[in-house]
Amino acid sequence: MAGSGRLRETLRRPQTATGAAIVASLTLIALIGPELLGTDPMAQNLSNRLQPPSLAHPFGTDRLGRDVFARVVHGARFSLGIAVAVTAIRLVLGVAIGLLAGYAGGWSDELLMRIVDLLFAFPGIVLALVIAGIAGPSLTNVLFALAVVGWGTYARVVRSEVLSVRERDYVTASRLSGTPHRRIVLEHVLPNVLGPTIVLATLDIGTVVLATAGLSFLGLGAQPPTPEWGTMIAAGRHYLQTAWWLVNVPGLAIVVTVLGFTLLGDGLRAVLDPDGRTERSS
Amino acid sequence: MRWQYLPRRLALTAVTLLLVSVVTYGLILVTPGDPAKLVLQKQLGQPPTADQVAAFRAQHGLDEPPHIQYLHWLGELLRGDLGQSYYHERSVSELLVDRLPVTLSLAAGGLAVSLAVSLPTGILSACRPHGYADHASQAVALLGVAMPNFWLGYLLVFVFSLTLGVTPVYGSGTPAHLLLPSLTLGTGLAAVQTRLLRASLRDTLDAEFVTAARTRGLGERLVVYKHALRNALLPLVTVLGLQLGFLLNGAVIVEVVFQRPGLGTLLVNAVFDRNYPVVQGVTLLAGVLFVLVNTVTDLAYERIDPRVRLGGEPA
Amino acid sequence: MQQTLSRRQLLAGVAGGTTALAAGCQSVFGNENAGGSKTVALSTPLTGGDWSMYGGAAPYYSPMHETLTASSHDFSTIEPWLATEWETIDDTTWEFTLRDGATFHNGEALTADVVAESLSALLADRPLSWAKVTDESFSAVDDRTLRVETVERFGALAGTLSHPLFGIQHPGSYDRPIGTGPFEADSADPDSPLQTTRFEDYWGAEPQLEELTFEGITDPTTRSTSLQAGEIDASFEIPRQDYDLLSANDAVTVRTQREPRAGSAMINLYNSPTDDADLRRALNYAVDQQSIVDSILSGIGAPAKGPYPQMIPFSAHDELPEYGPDLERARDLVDQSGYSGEDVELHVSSNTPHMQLIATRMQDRFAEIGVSSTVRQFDRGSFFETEQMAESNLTLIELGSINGAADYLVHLQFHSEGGDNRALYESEGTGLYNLGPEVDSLIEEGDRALDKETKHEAYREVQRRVMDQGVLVPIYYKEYVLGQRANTTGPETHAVPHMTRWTEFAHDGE
Repeated sequence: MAGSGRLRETLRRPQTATGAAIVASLTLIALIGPELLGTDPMAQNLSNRLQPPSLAHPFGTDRLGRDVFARVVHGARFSLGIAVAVTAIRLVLGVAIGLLAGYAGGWSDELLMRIVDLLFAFPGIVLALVIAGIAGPSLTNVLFALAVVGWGTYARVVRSEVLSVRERDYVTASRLSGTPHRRIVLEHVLPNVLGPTIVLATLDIGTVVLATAGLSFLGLGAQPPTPEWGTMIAAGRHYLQTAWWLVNVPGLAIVVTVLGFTLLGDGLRAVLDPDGRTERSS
Repeated sequence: MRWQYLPRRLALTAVTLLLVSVVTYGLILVTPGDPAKLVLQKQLGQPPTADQVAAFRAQHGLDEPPHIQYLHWLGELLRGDLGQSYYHERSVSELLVDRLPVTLSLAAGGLAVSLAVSLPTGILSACRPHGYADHASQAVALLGVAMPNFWLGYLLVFVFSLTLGVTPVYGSGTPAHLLLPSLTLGTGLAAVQTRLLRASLRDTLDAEFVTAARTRGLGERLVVYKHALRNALLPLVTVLGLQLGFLLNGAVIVEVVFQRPGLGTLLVNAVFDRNYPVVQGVTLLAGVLFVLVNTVTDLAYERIDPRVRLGGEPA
Repeated sequence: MQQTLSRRQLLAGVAGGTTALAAGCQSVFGNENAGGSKTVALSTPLTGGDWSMYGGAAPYYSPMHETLTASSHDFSTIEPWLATEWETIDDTTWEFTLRDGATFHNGEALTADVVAESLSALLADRPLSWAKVTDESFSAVDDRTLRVETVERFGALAGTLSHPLFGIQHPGSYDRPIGTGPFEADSADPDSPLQTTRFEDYWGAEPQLEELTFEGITDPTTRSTSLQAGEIDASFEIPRQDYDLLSANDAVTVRTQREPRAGSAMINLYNSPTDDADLRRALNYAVDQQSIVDSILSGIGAPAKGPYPQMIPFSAHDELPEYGPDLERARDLVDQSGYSGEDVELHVSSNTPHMQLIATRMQDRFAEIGVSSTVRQFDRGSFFETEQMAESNLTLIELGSINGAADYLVHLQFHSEGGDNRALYESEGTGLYNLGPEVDSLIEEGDRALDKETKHEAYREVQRRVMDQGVLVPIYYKEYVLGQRANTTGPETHAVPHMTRWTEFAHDGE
């Protein structure tokens, strides 16, 4: 099959392979890392605070003597967990609304698309900042704010796909022969949408990780002592001159994570979205 | 240009702007807590008396039902009055006007840096795909996209301001103050632009430069390069909205990192201070700006589009 | 190997090779480094607050407004300032004699009339119940004598009047600060630093500088880095963790100074599970103050035994027992208390990052004695909201005196009608940190006493009871860090940084 051939070929490219490897490792770390590692990220040891990286503590210790390595590993769970949750919500919401709008047409389509326009009317961080700021600083509120703000792209991609499929001959023929809408959606629309949606989602995860870190940095997201990477950078930035590892280690973790998902997403795009629909819809 | 769609487009834009204002206003109303108590507590340093709370609420019209409050606000808005900040008796529009230049200069600086980096890089990558420069620029572009701008900002401060002492640490006012913030903001945007350019230029230019490679005369090569530049700018124009979004998002964080007194820091402080009129003002401004830019871009795209799709032949 | 000139060295050479400039890490952008002009950074800007009654600039830290009395540098005595002497005429009447020769920045002389008008206007705009005076309290007996009627007998009036909020602003106009201080300002723009210039007709010690600018830099690290880069000449509230770094820097000097200010975890007496005195004492035994000061505060500060450091005259610090740390005793008390596993809520403000660390530390220690807890952070807006405070079990705050008398602190925290408790006391009959009518009477006795002995003994008894009942977990007595460029001298550090005397600040040109 051409599809799987392309997939294999794209995975062999060094960029995509690296991306896939990073994503796989991160997932593993997020899932079992903390248990595997065993070190308590909350264990305080005041006499051992602000130690530079050493054998005992590969990434040093923080202001309360906690092991930074353990905190970064535990942080993976938060950062990735939030990113995946947000992306999943965005995806489900966006696909559902896109399907509805494209299929129903008429004024409900107009209404929904105006709402999407509205979402696109604000720069993402600004809106998320206001929502999270108003609701109160917490990781859950950031999750909610980011999810609510970002489903627009999915909706647009799905809707345009629905619109193009709806008019095709075999669909009209199916409808004439009495096939229910649901089957048409499942058999014709969704398979076509799946590819671009996966690409979008993969790339989105990286964006969300950055956005979560940014909002935490501003003070809206995870609150200490939660070892979320953005919160760690915000807390550690006052120690840049005296304990650089507090900022640079979580910073590096963020970079690697986003890099991994971006590389993977790019590679997948070559396979799953050769027409570039994902690029035109944001 | 399809003129017949213009009025419809404008009407839609107006409706979107109206909805923007509703959303902006509405967000504030769903807040828990009484802003009067919070703000007064902060100002007085002690819990306010019932009288003081009542006076504050009356002064800022907080006792009326939400839709009346909104209509009042809208009415004033159309007259150019965005209300009063809860603190310090300053008008919101005054605050916005004071801070806008700082943010605009940062956005301009960021854009300049990004274009200075992405244009040559993008074009070079497109005309020598898979070459050494291409891979290098891709790598750097990826890093730029992946790196949190607050981290980058502090690193730059550390290296250039503290260790080397060649740039100021914070604030605004001189071109020197603009250097590091623009660099921070610009690298992220450059990364996005480079990827965009590379993707959209690759196919069109492949053919062009193969021809150019066979051309002897410098004059003809130059024409092709100019053509390449024009082709490069077009995709960037079409996603102006995306870039503006990136710039505004980035500006919020970069301003906080570098302590620039712009709209970003104004917004963040206002959110934490529960200074709702200011939050509404800034959000509205951002929203309006965004909608307008996107509308203009869409209209322009409709105009340029056919030429791009045909391979960009000059008229 | 060839030594290439760094850009910095080149510019320094061009600047004339002054040894001071070449040796230091002067940034090209520190344009206030000329001998007569300095910039001081504060954590919040002096302009841009609600200071219209002072011409637009806060009377804290600023050298423009002066008060009738002043606190000495070590907080031990009240010194004459704009008033040269004072006496009590009867229980609630005082007379202050104003000094000769003081003039306002607009050339007008300082007279009792003007002072009375000024203070009345200030109190009409901003009532201060803890000061026991109102806008009707001030009147002029003659040109040089000011009469003050207090609301009730109040022994600490002279010290209270040294509070910066009693800075005298000329009542004529309010579009710029017009005081009697050593520096004057032409304007106070909310979005710009406050620029002041030497006031030639100042009555007191001659200011050493020609220009003094105050800038608000909210980010603590930025204050530290700007100082290192030479963009500012001095800064208060330098982050403690940078102390060693700055000490090692030859271009910078750092000093610490004790304040009449303490960091405490105030315990809500009316919210379960901290409504149990045994549990409160258990929490006290669990906390390791010395270790907190050594690590989280980088050794800058002192472990506390009560709500008031020794520097406050009525502090009972010397006689208060030291609770902890004693985990065994703590666990026993937890058992004794019948604690059933309910979560203890610790509230911190996002304004004070070190408090967050301290709360996390306390959480850890509480876990070791079997008490579970949650740390909740609040932004500046909601931290002092009544509902939020009522839900809290331990609220971590820093409280201190910004005037020569610290009496108002006792009333504020421990009296049922005090600022902290009043709202809940009046609405629900509870409060937060008020032990009840007995303590209320003690506080009133102290407030009204005109002689120091009675007053201080009353306040000390309050402290004994408060600590016995575990109304708070004392944590640290505060020391602030003042950093400045090595080419400056002075000012003498004042226990209350807001009262720093800027005539003492000078350039040390070599």
